[in-house]
Amino acid sequence: MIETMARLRGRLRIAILIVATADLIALDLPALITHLDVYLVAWPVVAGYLTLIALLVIEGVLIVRGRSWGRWRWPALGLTLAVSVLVNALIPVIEVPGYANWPIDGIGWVAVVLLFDQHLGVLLAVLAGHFATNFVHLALGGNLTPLVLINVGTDIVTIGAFQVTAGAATWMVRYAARTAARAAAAEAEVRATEAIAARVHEDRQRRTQELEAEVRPLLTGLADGSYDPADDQTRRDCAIAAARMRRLFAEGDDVDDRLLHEVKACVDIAERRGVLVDLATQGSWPGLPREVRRGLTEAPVRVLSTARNWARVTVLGTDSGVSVSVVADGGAAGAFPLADGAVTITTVEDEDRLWVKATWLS
Amino acid sequence: MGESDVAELITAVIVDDHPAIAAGVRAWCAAATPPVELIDAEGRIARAWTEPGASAQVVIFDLQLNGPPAFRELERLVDAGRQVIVYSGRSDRDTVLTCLDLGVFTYLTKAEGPDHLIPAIRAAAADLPYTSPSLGGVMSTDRRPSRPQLSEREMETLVAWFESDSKRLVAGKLGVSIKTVETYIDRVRIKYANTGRPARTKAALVERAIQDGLIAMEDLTG
Repeated sequence: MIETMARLRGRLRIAILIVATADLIALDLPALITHLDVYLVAWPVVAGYLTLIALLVIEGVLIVRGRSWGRWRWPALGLTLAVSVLVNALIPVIEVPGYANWPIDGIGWVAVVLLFDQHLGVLLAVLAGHFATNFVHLALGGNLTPLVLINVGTDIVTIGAFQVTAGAATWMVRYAARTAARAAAAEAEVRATEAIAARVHEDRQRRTQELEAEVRPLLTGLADGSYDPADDQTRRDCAIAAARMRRLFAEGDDVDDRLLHEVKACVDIAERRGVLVDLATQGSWPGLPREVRRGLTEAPVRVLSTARNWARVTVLGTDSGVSVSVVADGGAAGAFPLADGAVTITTVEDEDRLWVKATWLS
Repeated sequence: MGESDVAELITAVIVDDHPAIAAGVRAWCAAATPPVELIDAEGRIARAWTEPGASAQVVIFDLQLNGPPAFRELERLVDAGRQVIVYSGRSDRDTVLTCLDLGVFTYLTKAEGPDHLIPAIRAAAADLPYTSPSLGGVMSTDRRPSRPQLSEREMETLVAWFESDSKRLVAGKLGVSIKTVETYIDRVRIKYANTGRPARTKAALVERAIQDGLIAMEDLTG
C-alpha cells in the first residue's frame, strides 16, 4: 500500500512537470517570440522566461535524483512571483488581456510544480497573488473596463481551474499516502500484539496441561483413598497445586512482561522441588534492559533456590522503581553483594528466615 | 492485630459460590480460639440480609459470584453498616481500591486466607483496622491524585509488609518495634478510611482510631 502510494506520487510529479514544460514551450514560447517588440524592455522578459525554464530543469534533475525542493522551495517560489510582477510591469496595459501576457498561465504551472505535496491553501494563495498582479496592473493603467475584466477573468478561471485541480491532486495523493502509512503502522502494531497474545496463550495452554497432569493424580488419589487428606505431604502437594492454579487463573492480560516471566519461571522450579511459593505482584513497571532484569532477579532467585519448605516472592513497581523480594526458610544462600550494577540489594536474617530484596531505582 | 477486645462469640456470614471455600473457612473458624460461628450463605447475597445472616457481625464476601465484580451489592452491604471483608481471587489495584473506597473493612486475597482471615474477622468485630499484605501492596502503589498523603516511613513499612508478610521481619528491617510497625500500617489504613466516599464503616474506623490515640485529628485534616 505504502509502495503503491509512493509510486503514484512519483508519477504524478513527472506528469505535472510535463504539463508545465509543455505549457511554457508550446504555448508561452511562441507568444514571447512573436511579441518581443511589444514589451517596454524585451530582455528582462526573456530573462524571466529563462528563469522559469531553469526552475523546471532543476525540478527534472530533482526528480531523477529522487529528491524534493526542501527549504529551497520558498526562494524558488519567491523568484517565480518576482517574474510575474516584473513581466507584468513590462507589458503595456493594453496588452494585458492578450497573448503577450504569457506569464498569466506559465507562472501558475511553475507554482504547481514547486508546491507539489504542499497544502492546497498555499497554492491557492500564490495563484491569487499572481492573478492579482494582473488586476493591479489594469487598475493602475486605468484599463478596468467591463470587456477587459471579462477577458482577463475568463482566462484566469480557465487557467486557474486546471492548475488548482492539479494542485489538489498532489495534495490528495499526499493525504492518501499518509493515511496508508498510518494504517500500515496500526496493522503492524496489531500484528505484534496478536503475536504476543498467541505466545502468552500457548504458554498458558502448556502450563494448564502440565498442571492437569499434576492435579489429576492428586484428585483421583484423594477420591480413591490412596492419599490421606490428613497427611502432611498430601496437604503440601495440594497447597502447591492450588497456588499454581490460582496464579494461572489470575492471569488476565496479554502483556509480554519479561521480568515477571523470568520470576515465574524460577518460582516454577522451586515448586517442582516441593517448595510452597506465595507469589504476589503489585504496581507496574516499564520494559527493563536485560542487565537490570538480571540484577533484579539473581540474588532473590538464589534465595528461592535454597528454600526448604516455603517462600514468599513479590515484585513491586512503585513511582520510584522496581523491586524483587524473596523471603524463604533455609538461609543457606551465602552472602550477597550490596549492589549489582544499578541494583541495590538488602538482606535481613531472622532465625531461619532469609529475606533478600533487589531494588532498581528508575 | 493484638488481642481482640471482643470476648463474646463472633458470628460471620460467608457469601462465596465455591462450596470448597466455604467449607475451608468453616474449618478455620471452628479451629480458632475462641471459635468463630460461621453461617454459609451458599453464594446467595440475599442470605446475608435475612436471618441468621442479617445479624452476623462480619460478612466475608467473594467479589465475583459467577460474573463481574459485585460492587453494587457490596455498596449496599456497606451502606447498611455491615463490616465486609472482601475475600477474592483478584488482586488488581483498581478492584482493591474500588472496594476500599466503597468502605469495605479490609481486602484479602484467597492466598492470604489461612494466615489472615481469622485475625481480620476479629479485628472487624472490634472496629480495629486490619491491613493484609496485599492491601498494603495496593496502597503503596496507589497513584490516584485523591490518595492520602503518606509519610516516607509509612510507605517503607507498607512496602516491607507487602514483601515479607511478617511484622517481625519488617521490624527487623526498619530497626523499630513490632508495635511501631503495626502503628504505621494502621495509620495508613485510617488515612484511607478518611478519604473518598463517606461511609459509616469508615467513620467508625476513624472514630475508634482517634479514641485509641492511634492517630490525631490534625494528621487527618492536614
